[in-house]
Amino acid sequence: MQKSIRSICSIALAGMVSSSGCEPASISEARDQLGRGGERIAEYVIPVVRDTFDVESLLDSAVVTVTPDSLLGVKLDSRSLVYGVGFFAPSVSFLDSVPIVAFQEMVQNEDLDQLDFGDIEDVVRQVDFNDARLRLNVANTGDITAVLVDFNLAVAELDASGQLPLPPAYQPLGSPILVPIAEPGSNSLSVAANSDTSFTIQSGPLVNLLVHMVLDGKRTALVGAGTLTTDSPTGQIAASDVISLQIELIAVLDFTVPDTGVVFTKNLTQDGLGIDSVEVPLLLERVQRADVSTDVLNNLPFGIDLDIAFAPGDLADEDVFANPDAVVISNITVDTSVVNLVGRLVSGQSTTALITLVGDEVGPLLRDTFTASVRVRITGALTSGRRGIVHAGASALLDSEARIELRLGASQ
Amino acid sequence: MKSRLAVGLVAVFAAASGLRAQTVPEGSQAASVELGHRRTPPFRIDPFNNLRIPHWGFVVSLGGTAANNAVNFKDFGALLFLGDEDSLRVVDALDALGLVPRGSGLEGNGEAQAGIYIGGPVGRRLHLGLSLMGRSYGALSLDDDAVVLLRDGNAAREEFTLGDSNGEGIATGEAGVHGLYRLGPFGGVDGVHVILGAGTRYIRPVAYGSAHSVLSNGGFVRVTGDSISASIEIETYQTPGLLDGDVSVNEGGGFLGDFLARVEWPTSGFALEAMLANVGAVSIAGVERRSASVYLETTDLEEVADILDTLDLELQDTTNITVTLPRIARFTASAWANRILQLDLIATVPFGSEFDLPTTVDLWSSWRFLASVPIRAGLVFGGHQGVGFSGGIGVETRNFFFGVAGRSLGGLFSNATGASARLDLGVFF
Repeated sequence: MQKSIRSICSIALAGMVSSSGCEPASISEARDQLGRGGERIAEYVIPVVRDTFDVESLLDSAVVTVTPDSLLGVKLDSRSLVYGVGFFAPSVSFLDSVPIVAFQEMVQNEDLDQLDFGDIEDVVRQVDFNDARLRLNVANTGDITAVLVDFNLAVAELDASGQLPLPPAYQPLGSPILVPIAEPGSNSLSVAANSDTSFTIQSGPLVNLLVHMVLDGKRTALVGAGTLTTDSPTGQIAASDVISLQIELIAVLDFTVPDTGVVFTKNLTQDGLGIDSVEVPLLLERVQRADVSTDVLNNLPFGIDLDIAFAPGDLADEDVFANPDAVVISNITVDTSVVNLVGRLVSGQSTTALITLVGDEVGPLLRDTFTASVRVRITGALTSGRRGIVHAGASALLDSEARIELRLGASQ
Repeated sequence: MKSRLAVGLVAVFAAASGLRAQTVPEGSQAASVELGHRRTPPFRIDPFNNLRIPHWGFVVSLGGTAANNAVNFKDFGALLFLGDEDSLRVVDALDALGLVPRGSGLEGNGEAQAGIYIGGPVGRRLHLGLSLMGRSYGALSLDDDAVVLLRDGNAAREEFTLGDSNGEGIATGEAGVHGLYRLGPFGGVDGVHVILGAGTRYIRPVAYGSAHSVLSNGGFVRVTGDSISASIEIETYQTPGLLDGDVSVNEGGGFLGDFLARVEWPTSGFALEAMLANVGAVSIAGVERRSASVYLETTDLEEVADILDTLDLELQDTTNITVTLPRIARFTASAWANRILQLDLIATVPFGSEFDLPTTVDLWSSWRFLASVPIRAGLVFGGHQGVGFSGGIGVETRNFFFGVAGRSLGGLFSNATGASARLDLGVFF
């Protein structure tokens, strides 16, 4: 019934139109007819890239932390180096000095909230950490005081089966980084019976080494090694007693950027105007003007150079800059932020760049989707020796949008 | 109230009896035209149109008028042609959007009617008529805010609304009885006649549909550089089966009243008339109320497309509603300019209706080179379309009546953005 009504209406309307001499003789005549409404310009804005590189949001919220001095860091929750004394000796008495060694493998595994640098992993690979903090808690379940002598934290590479070779090959080989766990001015740490003690130590180089080895895919462990004794002449540490070391690691985002800068690329899939590919050439003929305007607000303690490329389709992680259909907007440079001598941000910088698209360059923006790729080169400030300390809230805002003017109407 | 009305009527009669219009020379062709045919047939509803024909008989009528403020017949032709050729492109649609006048949006109305009248005189002064008609009325308004996003782009503004966009349409069947009573002449044999008319029509709805925004000001769609947010809620009312074309006579209904007052000087041909039509309201039973809403805030255009793809008008409840059909007040002044030319000035004014055509003023000239063959031409002003042109021809004899007329609104023929047509065929005994 509905079909019949529609058919009758369609036939009636078509009949009216054709009988009144309204049917155009050709497609071009029909298009001219629809354009009779007068010449006009329609202006459409399409975001190319609009992204806030908020460092905190680039990290996994499970691992991000803000230090008491408002610096941004990545934390590794407590890891235990636990060992029962009996593993090393039947018991430990006043005159004993029992070698002990324990390790905890560090892995890059987001699911386990281990070392995870989220979207800035590529950056981390290229920089050196200047600041890392280890919060330690040493506990003794025994009934007499335990004393750790010449006890150091170090980084070592594990074998293929995940075991620590003995003696451990502390890294870097030949001049290993050793972080002593001891009371100030001493080479030992005493932990009273059935108690624990906590303290924080700075160890940027050790954590830097650990992070880079993990990111390089090496099976890496944080190793604690030294000797165990007791200062109590009347008793002994029993085999069943446990000496444990809890380590909480915070890697502060305090980087020194190499001279060549740090480069990373981020791809974003964006929505275009949604025009069918067959129709894009028709629309391109109507483009009167097309600009891409890019605003960058840099509140990072670094300088930023940007290249932007966009190409039709959802290219996922493909290298858009290498795509033959890509349109590349190069060399958008933001002056290095003003930082103090240690690399803390004093004031940010901003810049605006405007480029004009010509011919087919507009094409990708007219399609359903396009992939925009941002290649960012972070440079260090000379005043701080290319060091930058990322504070909480540090971000860079990138706002790149295309404005396309289409000629529509009578003149077509 | 009654006394005021009586005083008013007396005053009108008294004033009318003192008026003198241009006199048509005795023996002229104008004087030989029956009074019943001196009333120029309108394109819109006029329940009294055939009542003054002084013989019993019947008239079959059909007609309609439709107009919009943007698209003319050539445009329709172009769109159909491109569609048939599978060549309708986005740029064509964007070009066509330029036809919608900036600031006023797209407006369109239409009404159509067909049916039969049977009637004639009862005595010297009373005329009675019965009618069976089918009628339909429709109106569409697409607010400028709803088309500006595609027409002008999103560079100049970020927020768009449905505004006052709405649409409504109804088809009815009706049976009516109307009467005219002639008073006079006052002031002598050639004095003024006063004709009073009234009637009622019982309306049964056949199909009804309407759509409008539930949210005030039409809700909003906000398109920023990196996000789309929207708050839109649309409500529709429709009789069951409307969208499937499976319609049936509705259980609702209602009586509408029509009224007419006319004073005329038969010899000179001068006449003044006022008519009200469609006074009252019609109930429609079992109307399905459906609604669809879009509340979103996203940065993903695909999400918008997904929502729109799955958007469905969900049945909320079934209810009875009351609809006011397009009420019109029509004021007419007729005069004879010379021996063969009758001029009519007709203003058709909407009042109190939910959907209707804007005010129009028709200027008709009826040329009677032969008394029984009027040739009509005229202009129409107002409506959605500005200026229009009208014409028609008739054959009016003692036993036979035929009339055909048309209007080209907003331009001539294929350049018109609207059209009207009317056909009457009557036989009298």
